[in-house]
Amino acid sequence: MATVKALFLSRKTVLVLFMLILGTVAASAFFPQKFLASPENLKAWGLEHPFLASWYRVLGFDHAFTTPWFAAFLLLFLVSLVLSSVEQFTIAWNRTRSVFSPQQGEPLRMAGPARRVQEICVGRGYFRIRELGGRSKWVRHPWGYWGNFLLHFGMVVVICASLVLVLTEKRGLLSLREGEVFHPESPWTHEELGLLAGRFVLPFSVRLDSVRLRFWQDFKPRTITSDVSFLTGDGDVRQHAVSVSDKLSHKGLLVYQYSNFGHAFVLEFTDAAGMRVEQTIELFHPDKPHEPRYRDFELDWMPYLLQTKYYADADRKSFDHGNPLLVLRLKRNNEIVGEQLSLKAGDAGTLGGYTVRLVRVCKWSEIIFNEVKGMPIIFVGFFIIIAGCCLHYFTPPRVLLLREEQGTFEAEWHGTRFAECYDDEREQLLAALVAEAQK
Amino acid sequence: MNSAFALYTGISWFAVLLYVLATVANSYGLIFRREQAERVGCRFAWAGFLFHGGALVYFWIQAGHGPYLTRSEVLSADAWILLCLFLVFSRVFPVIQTASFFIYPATFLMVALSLFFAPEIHTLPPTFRSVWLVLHIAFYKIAFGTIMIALSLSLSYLLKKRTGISWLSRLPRLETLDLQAYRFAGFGFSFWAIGMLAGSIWAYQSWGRFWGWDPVETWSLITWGLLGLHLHLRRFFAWRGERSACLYIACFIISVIALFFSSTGQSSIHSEYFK
Repeated sequence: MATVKALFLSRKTVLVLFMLILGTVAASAFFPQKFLASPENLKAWGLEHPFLASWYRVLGFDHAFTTPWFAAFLLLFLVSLVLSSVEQFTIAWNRTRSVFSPQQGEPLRMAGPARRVQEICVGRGYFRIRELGGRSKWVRHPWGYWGNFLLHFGMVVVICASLVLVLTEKRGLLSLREGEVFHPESPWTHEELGLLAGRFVLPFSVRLDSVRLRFWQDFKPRTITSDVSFLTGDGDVRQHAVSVSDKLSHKGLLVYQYSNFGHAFVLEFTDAAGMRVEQTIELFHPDKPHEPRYRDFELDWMPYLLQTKYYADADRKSFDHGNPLLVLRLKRNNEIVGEQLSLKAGDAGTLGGYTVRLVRVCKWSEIIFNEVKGMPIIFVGFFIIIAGCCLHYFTPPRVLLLREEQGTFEAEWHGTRFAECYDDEREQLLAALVAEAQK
Repeated sequence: MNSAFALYTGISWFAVLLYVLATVANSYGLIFRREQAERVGCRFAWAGFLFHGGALVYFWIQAGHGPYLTRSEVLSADAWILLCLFLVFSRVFPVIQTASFFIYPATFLMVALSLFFAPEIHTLPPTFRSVWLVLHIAFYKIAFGTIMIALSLSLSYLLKKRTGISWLSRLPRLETLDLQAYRFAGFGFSFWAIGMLAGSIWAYQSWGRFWGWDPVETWSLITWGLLGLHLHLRRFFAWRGERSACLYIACFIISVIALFFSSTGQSSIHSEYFK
């Protein structure tokens, strides 16, 4: 057991584990990751780098952070970190309480009343930490002993809380049109679940009442707000608004407004035989009033490729007019079929062999629901890390050891870190003590 | 708006001129042992700092948001923070004053580069409206400043150790340069951690995920890890002197990639930054 502990506490072990983890993170920056890149981009990268592609998937570099070996590195690092934190607690405790100097210097000897010496120390920011067997220990910034411990302990807290969060997190994305209702048992647009999370079922239905958009003068989005209603089975309706950077909390869930939005077009297609199909298509909002957005649709019931483009404003001047223009075109075997058709809300026309009517236009947006455990603890861990860093680098302890014996005393000063940076402080303190002794 | 840009650009170029004068006077003073010239250089630096700060405040008022979107404003603000930190720290730790040999030219080069990327006002995306974002960016700028100071001290160490240039004898002792570089690397490590953690809080407040392995986040973590590795190697494996300085230069290069290049490649939540 002692051998195992020593192995985990060995500086070489820590260094090796650290470099393995850092190396993995660095590798992920150069290899496209499955959860970040689209399948098309992954395929294109593979074609550009056939040699690398042949083995990077085998080794799991396309999903570096969810491979078993990365999890093993993290686990071993966590064990090492925990043991190290315990050891550092002991070290910090002993250093705080020790009244002996770690250095072999020649102490300064002088005569003088102890009371006045104490006043000088207090006046220069030194606290008496301990007194034992005629020795007293005065420390400036005694909390600086604990910086290293807090830094490492904070990392332990963050890693453990992150593990709980990753294993239990439930995250669901909904893409809703105005007026649409999402029922609890319906499938999410996109869902992410931790390994131990179970199903993510909302305790209420969600209705998107309206999407409110404001734009800057350069047509970039200024605010994106969704007015939503949460409906429970007993008829209770709660209305809320959620905006980007202004989340909502409801029944233990956090609700976020995502930054994707656009227009949805409800189209009615009638073929020559009189069969009607209602089809809803959604497109992302254009960046400028005079620039369209494009999207192609392969529909099961239609033997053509439906190509669409839309302008947020039929007049192509502003996003505030609320008068989008949809342009449709059919393609078959890469050849355009018939004429394209431009529609505003309520318009109808002919497209290929179909009569098409634009029944309704509305906005859509995306809302994220999050159920997480452990987030407050992660933030506490963050602050512990910050406290540790600050204590370690900004407040290194400086120690004055005093030993009193029959009206004379010995003073010995040493710094724990960056001692050379405090030469002036040492000189001034010792000079003050000498001056007092000579009075 | 054109007259506003003209005023901002004019003040910034005047600040560049003052920084250039500071560099010339300071370098002359250091090389030829003229303390009066060094003091003149310091005064020019202060004057440039004030004018530059005024230009940034003016830009902030015109843009309606802080200088943290476009390349021009990011570089300019980073240069100002760098000089601010150096002027403050050189008062607290006078021994690092000689790092001005690198800091002053770095400042004017960054401001000049920022003006090369023509200033323009970008509107604030909805995800950028958060106090945590302001803290996140502020601490990263402070971290960059301390990292630059540590780099200056590391370069000073290497120059003094490896070259026989006579005026370098005026620099502090090698052990002092090494120690101060280590200390400022520690400051950089601390501030970088705070910046990263503030960013995590911002991300959680904005889109519900405190870490998403975004390219900018990943490079930031790599930089922090590398700085941590540097500090550990120094503390526990006695990597001092030249080895420490050379490793630190590698850390600096990675930090530059993280701050200025990581948002330009793959798609990123930080895609509006540094455009």
